Amino acid sequence: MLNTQKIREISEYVQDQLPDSVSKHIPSRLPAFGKGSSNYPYAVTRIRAMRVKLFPRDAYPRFLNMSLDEITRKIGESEYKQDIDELSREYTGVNLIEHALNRNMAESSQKVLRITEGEPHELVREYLRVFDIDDIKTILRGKLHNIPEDQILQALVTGGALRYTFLSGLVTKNVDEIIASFSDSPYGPILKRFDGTNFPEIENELDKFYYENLFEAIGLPSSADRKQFDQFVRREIDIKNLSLLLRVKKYEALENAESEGTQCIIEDVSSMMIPHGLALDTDKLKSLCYDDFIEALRLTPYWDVISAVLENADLKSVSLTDVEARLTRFNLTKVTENSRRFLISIIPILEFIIYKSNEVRNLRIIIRGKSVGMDNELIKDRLVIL
Amino acid sequence: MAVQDVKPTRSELQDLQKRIKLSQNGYKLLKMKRDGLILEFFKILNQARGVREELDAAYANAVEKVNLASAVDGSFTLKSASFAVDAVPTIELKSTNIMGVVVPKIEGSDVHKALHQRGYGLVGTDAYIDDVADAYEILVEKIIVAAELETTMKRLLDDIEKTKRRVNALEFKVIPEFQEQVKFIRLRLEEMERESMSSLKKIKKKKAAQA
Repeated sequence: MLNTQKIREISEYVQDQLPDSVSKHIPSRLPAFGKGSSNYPYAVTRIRAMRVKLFPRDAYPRFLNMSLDEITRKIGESEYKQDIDELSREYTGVNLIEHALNRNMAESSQKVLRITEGEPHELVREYLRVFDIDDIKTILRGKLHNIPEDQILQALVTGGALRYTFLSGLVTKNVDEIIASFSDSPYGPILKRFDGTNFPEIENELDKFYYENLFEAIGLPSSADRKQFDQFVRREIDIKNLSLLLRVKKYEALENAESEGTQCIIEDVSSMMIPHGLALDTDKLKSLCYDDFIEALRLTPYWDVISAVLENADLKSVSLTDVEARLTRFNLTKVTENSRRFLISIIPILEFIIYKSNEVRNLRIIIRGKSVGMDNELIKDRLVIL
Repeated sequence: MAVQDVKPTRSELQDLQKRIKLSQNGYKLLKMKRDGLILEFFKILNQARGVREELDAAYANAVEKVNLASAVDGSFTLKSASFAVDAVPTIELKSTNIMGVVVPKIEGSDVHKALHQRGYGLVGTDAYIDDVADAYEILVEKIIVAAELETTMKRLLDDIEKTKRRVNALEFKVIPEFQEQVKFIRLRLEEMERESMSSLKKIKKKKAAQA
């Protein structure tokens, strides 16, 4: 029997053989199928019960008005109690809270993977692969630059399919052994290209692989819920590409202003672009200089979101972190719009994962911000309240 | 040497006069060196005052950026990105000479790196990480400048202090003591001359009485 991978390979082969005039009319991906029986009703019911335990949206403004001790106590009385109690021997203060938040999020992700079967399981696994990729990058970065093993272990999140025991085993190996450990995984072909000097490129390839793989896993969006998921992923790709282009264009403009030059300093920006975005023409945008790039952005659906930061702003004072904060808020708000329409589908599951990671993100911003005396307005500005 | 210990001889007197001349020349030169060093010190002080303020501002900015990044991206992500930094800035230490005082000349290389050469992949990171990297690169640059200026100032201050002590020792101790000794020898020699004159007169008187 043919599996999905085999079918994809055959499809790619057939497309390669066809003339361009014909192949451009054929979709670049196949509908997702062959993923076994799904258990949407059971999974969604369990997810609803988990969703109830999340902090409500009005909790964050209250947290902002509390002292750090009060927030810590509130978090310690919530779903995070067990994680805080168990980690309190190793960590203290803000670090304890952050480790507890991450551990809880990792456990929630594992739970979602456990309670889903068939298609939702496959989709969630692909969506959570970002944690695996982050952990692989962290281990390889640490091993390449001789970071002590305990420090590498402390920086792992383990929110994806790779378990802590496997990852902690990798930390004791050398770089070649780690790469060999992934030879049979989807990361193998990318990691094999590592030649000792090109690790940033390997990182970029891994991150691109995540989105391409997720895009493939969603398949042709035949239903409204899959269309929503598809649009969320493709919008996230746009946002990634847009922030990367902004970072590169601003850097080049500043360097050129200093040297009075006009050339593109980062030439391999094309290799960093993630394909399959929703509304951004990266081929056109990547070749423009900063001013033309900003002009071209006006024609995109993202301009309204970021215009307040970019419009008439001096190049040096443009805050790209503000742009990223606005784009993140925009995408998360979009995916949760009309989500009640899709009661028994992948959307409530995806929505829970997004709400959970957003809760962890918001709590971390409040706790970290309060601990260093950050201005309440600045903290509020970085929160995404869904 | 105490005045009483000096041998009241003509050769000693000549020797002392030579030493006074040498000390006075040394005193003049040291005084010029001290004034020159003070001038140099004030020149560097003006630069250092601005640099210290810039260093403080760069440090505050770097701390703010790192706090923001660890709040938004999380300290795990930030730590992971920091693991990726492979080209550590190197410091080259040379030395220059300001009026005989050896001061350091510090030059840093690989401090400011291009966006795509920082060791981490750009696709998986964000502007918060870039801001932290930028802020710390600026901070390291300021530290290098401040280290050079402040070490130079410290060395100059030490040397000014040393030179001042030497000038004061020559002015208030060595030269006055030599002058005191010269005075003592002169008095002693004059007295010895008077003694010998009176004894010669007595001998002459005795001889005249015998004759």
